[in-house]
Amino acid sequence: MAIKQAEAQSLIELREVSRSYGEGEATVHALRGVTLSIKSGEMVALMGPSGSGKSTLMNILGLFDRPTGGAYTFGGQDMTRLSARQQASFRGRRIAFVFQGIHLLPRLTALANVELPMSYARMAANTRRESALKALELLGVAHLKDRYPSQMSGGQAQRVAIARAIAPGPDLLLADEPTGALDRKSGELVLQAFQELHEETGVTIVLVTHDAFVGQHAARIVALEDGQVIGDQPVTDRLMAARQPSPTGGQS
Amino acid sequence: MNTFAIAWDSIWHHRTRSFLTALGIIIGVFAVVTLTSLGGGVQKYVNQKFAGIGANLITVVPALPHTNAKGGKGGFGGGRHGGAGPSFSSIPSTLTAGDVNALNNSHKSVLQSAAGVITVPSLLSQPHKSPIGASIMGVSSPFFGMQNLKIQSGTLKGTGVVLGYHVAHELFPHKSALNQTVVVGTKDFTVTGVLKSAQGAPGSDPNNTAYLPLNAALSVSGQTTVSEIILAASSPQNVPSAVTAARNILLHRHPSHNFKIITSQEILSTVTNTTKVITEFLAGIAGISLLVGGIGIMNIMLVTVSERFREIGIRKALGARDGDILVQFLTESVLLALIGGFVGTILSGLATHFVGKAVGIPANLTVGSVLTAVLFSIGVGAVFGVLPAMRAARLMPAEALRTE
Repeated sequence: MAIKQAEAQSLIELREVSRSYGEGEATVHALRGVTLSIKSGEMVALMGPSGSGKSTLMNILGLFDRPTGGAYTFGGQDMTRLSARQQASFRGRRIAFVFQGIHLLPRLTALANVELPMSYARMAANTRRESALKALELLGVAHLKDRYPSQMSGGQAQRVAIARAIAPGPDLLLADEPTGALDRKSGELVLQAFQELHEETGVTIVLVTHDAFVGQHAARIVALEDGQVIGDQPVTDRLMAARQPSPTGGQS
Repeated sequence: MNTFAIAWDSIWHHRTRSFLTALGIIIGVFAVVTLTSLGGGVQKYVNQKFAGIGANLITVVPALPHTNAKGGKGGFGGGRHGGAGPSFSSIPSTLTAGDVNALNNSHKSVLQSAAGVITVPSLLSQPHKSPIGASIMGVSSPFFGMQNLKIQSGTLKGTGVVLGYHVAHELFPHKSALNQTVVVGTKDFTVTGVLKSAQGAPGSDPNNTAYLPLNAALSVSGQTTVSEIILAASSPQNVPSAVTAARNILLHRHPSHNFKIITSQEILSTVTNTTKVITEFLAGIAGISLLVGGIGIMNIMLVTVSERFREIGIRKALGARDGDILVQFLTESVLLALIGGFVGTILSGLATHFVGKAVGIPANLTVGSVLTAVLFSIGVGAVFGVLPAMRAARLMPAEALRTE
């Protein structure tokens, strides 16, 4: 309890987190002692080239994977002690995901897709419907609610996916290369959606990307390389997608 | 979107595949339900037949002394013992008309009446005409009452021949058979009675039989013994004491115990047990096709799980628990099996109805067989769906999502 008091501001605490795969000589160290603190309401970009360990870190943050060493606390709660079942339940209530591929279920309408996490969280049907419509509204895709993913553009589908992520009101939104499968213009619309969402709801957002242009839209960049944090600083010339859509900067 | 709707959606999306998978179950359930229903029909048929001749009948058949060897081959094929109807004994009979008289004159109240029965191996014809294919039996007059055979015209106690309904009409299509002359073997008899149409005991066909008085039949055929003796107990409840009484009387006359006493309940239970065993045996064999159908379901569910890796990963990332995924896939396999069971049951209902009609047995779907089919389909779907569903549930979401 004392720890929770002291770190009231801090949503995520990683201390010397390591993750290795395999055994003996074939051991691969994906993470080598990552220490990181993310405050509630921050918008952070986790950046690094492929193989830097950012996907592993994202899997650990999202409770898909367990660290082999170190401590992970979320909102003051020790995540490494949870059972797989508890993890799934915790994930369902507190953490939301936006993936690189547009991971909408193809045979469900936009609305049904958005409602899905809430139905897994056993929320009442009318609350579910209400939150889903609100989230679709927030992302500007309310008019698409009865369409199937195949009837939307990539950008629209990704915004539905973001709506799905935020509808249950999570503490943390984890986005893994959210613009990776989109062209630049749709990508910018999606980044704009993230920024507006951040401003309006104050939800904590972690963007995992290898794209510096995407990273510039966050308020803070944590750079990873070879399983370690090599840089952690606020973004000084932050790009605001809504106001100055820039065709320059970054390579994808 | 509930579990059932998801499962149905997935099944409907792969209609052809789902149908072919369900076909295994359709065939399996069809086979099992049809066989059990037809078996039930045969049993009902036998029961009805026995109900028609009364439960108070006792049959005495010849037997080898001191053994329980076969008393004779039953007229209705499946029976292990001699039937209540005519019996072609493989054992030389020692039962005589004297035994019949002794039983009739026993003055035991539980023994209502006794009738000797023999089969006359002669042909029946009109004088100077070619014979017809009717069987001829010699019976004591109480026989008619025991077998529930009613007179249409004439008398049952005459000295002439009593003709079955069809026999009378075949011999004398355009006039009354009564008082006409017929030839049995070489001897002339006057028709003294014509029976009403009747079903008779299992294995007997009274409509196509001509009945001679026992003594006349003995002299016509040159036999001295009767094939069997049928006894009527005063009531179905008195059958056991009637058996005891009859045994005592007969033991006195046949110290070597070369006879066997069978009650119609025994015959009925033998027949019932036999058809039951045969039905269950056949249903068991048919059940193998259900097993094969179940394996088909397991196979296709495994394919479905690997096809839907991504979907499973997404669902898990969205907070689905292992149990949610397990239930989802289990619902799908059970639903698939249930659809198969449903279609199979309907087809079986049709087949049973038509086969029953064609064969002439009152076979229809029973609540039991339908219930069995439904439970079996659910069981097959659940048992064979568990492995694929567990595989789906155990997938790690990250691993599942990486499979693009």
